[in-house]
Amino acid sequence: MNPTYLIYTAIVLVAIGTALVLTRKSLLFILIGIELILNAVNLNLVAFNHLYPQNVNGQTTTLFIMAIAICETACGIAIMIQVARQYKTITPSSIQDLKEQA
Amino acid sequence: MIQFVFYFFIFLTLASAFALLFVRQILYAVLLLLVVMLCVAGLFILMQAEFIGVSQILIYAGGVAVLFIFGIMLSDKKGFSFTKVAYTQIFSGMGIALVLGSLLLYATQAVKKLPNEVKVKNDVQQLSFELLSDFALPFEVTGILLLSIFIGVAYIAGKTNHTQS
Repeated sequence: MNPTYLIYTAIVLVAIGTALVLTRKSLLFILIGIELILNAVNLNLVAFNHLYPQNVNGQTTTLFIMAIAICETACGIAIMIQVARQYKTITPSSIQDLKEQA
Repeated sequence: MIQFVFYFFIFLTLASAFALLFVRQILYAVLLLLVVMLCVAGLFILMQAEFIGVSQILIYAGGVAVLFIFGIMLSDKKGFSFTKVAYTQIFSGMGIALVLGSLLLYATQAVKKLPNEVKVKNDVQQLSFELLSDFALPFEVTGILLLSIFIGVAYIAGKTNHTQS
């Protein structure tokens, strides 16, 4: 069980999460992409903590990242529900009330 | 055997994450995200971070996935304009993601020289000591943050606007 494979897995997860955030039109998919990126960070921290087992700073940081991630998801979904009520769509590019008229 | 389970979890994580790129239905996407989370939890446990693995299952599988599913199911679909094409700027987005991934792969070339096996003791006790001594202030601040976030979220999501309808 080489931690190197975990680091490569984390890299692929970051790339897939970035692709989801950049190419999807739905706010929910964008949130899922952000979750993937945060998970990749957690994987990286745990892998490196496995290599340096004299302290558990990596695992502690992982716990804090999890708490922040659930805050971010809750906020995002609340904002998404409110945007869906107000604009009847959850595509970010079609929400353009404050856009300057061309 | 353990080796096989380790590679199986890695394969399942990557396969589900890759399938996320192509799935169209949001509910399937949430279920795939759940598979990714559970496999990552399994990897945590195999990396001898048992407490983190169990927290991952509790928080992500129990919290985030349920939050996503409620977010989908509780939003009313009346007069909702569904987008026809689910993708936007697909080539530039995929290109940026590919470039980012290969840059990170290039930057982590030194990782190849990492040692293979490190004997670690089961350190939940050490984790709890550290969490309540060195990280006591961040721990409390995170608690306050969670409380305020959930009050705010309940307020934002519960508000109905009377001006539009």
